[in-house]
Amino acid sequence: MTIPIVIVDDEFADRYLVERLVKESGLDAKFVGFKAGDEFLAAIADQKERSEKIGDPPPQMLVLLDIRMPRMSGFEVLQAIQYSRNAQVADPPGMTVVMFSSSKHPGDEAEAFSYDFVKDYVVKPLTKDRFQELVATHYI
Amino acid sequence: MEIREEYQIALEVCPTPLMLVSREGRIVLSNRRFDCLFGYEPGELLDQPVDILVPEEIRAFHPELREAFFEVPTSRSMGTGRDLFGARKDGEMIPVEIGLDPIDQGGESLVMVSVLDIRQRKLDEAKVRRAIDAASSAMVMINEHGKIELVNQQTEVMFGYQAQDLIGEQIEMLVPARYRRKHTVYRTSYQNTRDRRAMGRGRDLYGLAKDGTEFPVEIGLTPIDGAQGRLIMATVIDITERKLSESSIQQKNDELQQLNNDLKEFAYSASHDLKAPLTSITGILTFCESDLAAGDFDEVRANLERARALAERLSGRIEAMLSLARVDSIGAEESDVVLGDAVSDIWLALKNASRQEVVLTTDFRHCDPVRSVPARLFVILENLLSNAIKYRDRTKPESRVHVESWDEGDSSYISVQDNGIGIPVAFHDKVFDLFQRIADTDKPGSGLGLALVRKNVLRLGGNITVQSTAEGTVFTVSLPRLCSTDEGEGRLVEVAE
Repeated sequence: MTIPIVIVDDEFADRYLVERLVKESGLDAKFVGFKAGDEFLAAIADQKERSEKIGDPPPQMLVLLDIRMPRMSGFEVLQAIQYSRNAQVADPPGMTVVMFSSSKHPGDEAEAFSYDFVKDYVVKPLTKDRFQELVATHYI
Repeated sequence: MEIREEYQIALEVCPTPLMLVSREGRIVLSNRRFDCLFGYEPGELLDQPVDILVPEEIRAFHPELREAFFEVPTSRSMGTGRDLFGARKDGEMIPVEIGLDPIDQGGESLVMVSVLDIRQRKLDEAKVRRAIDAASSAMVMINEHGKIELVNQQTEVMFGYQAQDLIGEQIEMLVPARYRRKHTVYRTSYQNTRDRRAMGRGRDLYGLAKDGTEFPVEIGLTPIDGAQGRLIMATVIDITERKLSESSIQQKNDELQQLNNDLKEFAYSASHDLKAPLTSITGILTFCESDLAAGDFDEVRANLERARALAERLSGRIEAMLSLARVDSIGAEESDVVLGDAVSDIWLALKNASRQEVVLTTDFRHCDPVRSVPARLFVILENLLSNAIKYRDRTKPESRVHVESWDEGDSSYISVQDNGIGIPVAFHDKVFDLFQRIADTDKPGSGLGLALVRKNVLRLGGNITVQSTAEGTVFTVSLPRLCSTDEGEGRLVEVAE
């Protein structure tokens, strides 16, 4: 099974870094990048775009979610996901969300882990070891 | 006269200074205590006219008063309600209380006069009076009907009345008109409890001075019960100064609170927005190392370029943050600014390389020159103009920026309008917040420009609003009217690019 590894981050360099880690990891994984939270939400809500980018039916994806982004913060993205889950939108896609931020602010951490689908918190930059650990923890 | 001798003995054993006076006003008898009180030798007063013991100003009509007494002789005290004085031989006037008792002695009408020396009582009263006049609070004593019976000097100072204007008046004359009706009710119900307490707990109390000014007061109530009735002493403190200093402390407190919030926000921002480019650079350099080892120089070159762009962005953010911090240290010195000149200077100095692709038009209808803090006005205009260029819509055939100004009421308005990409309505509230970026661009801004604009606008006592559609965006800054002189009003200035 190919693991979709999704990064939602407005910083090109950060998306590039994760893309290279995915490529060089030798894992059966595919990299999907979004440069804003609203784009990500739109993509997973749209049947066609979702099957194109993530897969059909959508496999459990690993989502690296940045916090500070234009328009919508990572927390607002979490809220929107929670909202669609509560609203019992048809087949909400399964995801393991990992917060992906340059800083581990205690308030941020508490807020992130208040959502049960947030499983981890990574402080940038993501290293090879940390990436492997993430996959190992959440997929093996 | 034997009778008189008997009286003499009786008089001597009596502890009160006494004399017996005939209808003609002659002193028939006096005891030693009496002679001594008035400074005479024993017996010296015998047959003297009683009028010599009366103060000079009364002496002329005293015989008349005396005659009136004998016409209706009753036991009573003399001069009810008036302060009485006796004239001593040495001329000293001493305060006295005088009792009169008619005596019929074998057909002869006499009057027994008893004199009480009240000097000590007067001294004590004066001492008490001085004490209440020395009080730093106003003291107002009222009777159970709300009539003022006594005020101290501080009351006169605080309320601007003379004591005689107040005595006998209703206490409500010192209460602002809008509270009078209630005050009467409160006062009446206080008569039921008569406890010692502060007036109007939890309410703001005001006093009304003679000149109509109101001032905040604190009032303590103390019931005083005695032979003179159920009195109430109100102690009034003028708390104008305290209120002022309270509100100044409150203001300082709010400012500190605001600064503290700013600091928290700054620390949070720094942990994300300042650290983010550095973490990205670290990540990129790690790949550079492995690419170098692998000999992939093209990738290394591309990544070094990315790292450099990130470093530049970080440097820009820090610069913007410092500008934001400096907003507080810009002085308040105002000077005259010709707005049109300022706009064209700023426009020409903008570093945006693409400035040439944008057309600037202006329509100034304010009065020039304007009076403002130039440093702040420049920051505002510079950021708004720079944003208008940065967020132009490249899909439109022509990019335009239009600056307008006008005066209306107490305000002057400056608007900067573009036909750029616009800001979705949902983000209009957010655009002025720290590190808020709305658009995805290749070269993201600091997210501080509009925060900086707003902070400066607020410091100038103004406000800024945004309206935006897909057609473009208008930022409108309103400032307290900027006219530097009244003469300049109505003068229209046209400045073209």
